Amino acid sequence: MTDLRSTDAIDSAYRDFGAALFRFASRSLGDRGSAEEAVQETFVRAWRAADRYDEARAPLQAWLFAICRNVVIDMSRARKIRPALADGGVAASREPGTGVDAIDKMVQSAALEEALRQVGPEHRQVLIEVVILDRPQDAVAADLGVPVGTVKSRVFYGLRSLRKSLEAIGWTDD
Amino acid sequence: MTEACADRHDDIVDTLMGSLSDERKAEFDAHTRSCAGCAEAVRELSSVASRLHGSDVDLDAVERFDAPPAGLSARVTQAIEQARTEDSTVRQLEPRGRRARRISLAVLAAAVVLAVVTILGFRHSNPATHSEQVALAAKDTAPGASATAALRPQPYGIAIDLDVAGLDEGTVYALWLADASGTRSPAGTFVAGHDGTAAIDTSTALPRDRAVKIWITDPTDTTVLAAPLA
Repeated sequence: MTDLRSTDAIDSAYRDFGAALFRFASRSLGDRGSAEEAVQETFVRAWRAADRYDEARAPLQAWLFAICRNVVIDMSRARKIRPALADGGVAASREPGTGVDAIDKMVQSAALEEALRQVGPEHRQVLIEVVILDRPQDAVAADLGVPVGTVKSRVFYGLRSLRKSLEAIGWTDD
Repeated sequence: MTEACADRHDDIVDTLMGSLSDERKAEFDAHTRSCAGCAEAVRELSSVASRLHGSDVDLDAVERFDAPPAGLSARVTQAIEQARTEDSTVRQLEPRGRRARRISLAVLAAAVVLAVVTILGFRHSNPATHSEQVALAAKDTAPGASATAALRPQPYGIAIDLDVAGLDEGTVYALWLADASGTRSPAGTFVAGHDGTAAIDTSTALPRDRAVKIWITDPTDTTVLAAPLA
């Protein structure tokens, strides 16, 4: 039973998911300083809403990511900047525009990136080469020095693993 | 996740990648019609594959496992301790502002009641003091939010005392009520203050017996908190 009102439970949740939330917020907002703020706010909101958290309904990680996503969206709107995918805090120099779609897209990409990080390196590599970059499977197999059947197998298990990671952070179909 | 046949993984991947020959495609299609596991795998994995394919993820960033700053853990704990303290401080400080006003109103109301009761010779109770407490439930759009509303029917509509927490500090929210036909009746706007809290006294013209719903929207008109009214 997770009771997020206790300091111990918060510490433990931070140890388990703090880094993933930080990376997600950092990629959504475009800089580490804002990401730190977002992670703090996520845990404060989680603490405030602790009595409404139902373990049976959602895994803790999915719940924290849902809160973090709202924090990120709120912060993006409040600052009137578009979250930047580029690095180095260049968000402010981007053309202002806080279209809900634009923010949503950035948040989705950041979530997908974090889910990909949670997939093992060998599988992540073939997902990138085959699915994202659309490279022929035999070319990828030749580069890696493995049979093409191994590439197919890694795509299969990689997609399965990615689906599980996405579900674990609360992103499901549609 | 339903299990796909172990010897069909290649077919599934080639189906997703569109690299299945016509002949193999016909054979595999026939197979999936009788194999729920493989059909399910194609459906579930194609949704992930198309999301990945159509995404604009940054490939360098995917390979970067940035660790949060070492001090962030302590700052999270500190922020919560601060929120804990502020919550209790706000409660203690409240009498100087809102609670004091409520108390003076209560004193005034009590005096009025006393006067009325005295004049009427104890023939009437006072319906104006009746207050109905409603807890608004947070939507997925604001999982950390909470709100309670005290509704008091008035000759002009409904007087509402609203207390909210967990909203976005500095953001403008609107309170609404609606009747059974879905016609909205505004009950004012407010800015969430420090730590996303606000305590407001407001009102709406909708008579209490016609109100069936109360809710709060954010600036994009997305509902963040809502409750049905009996």
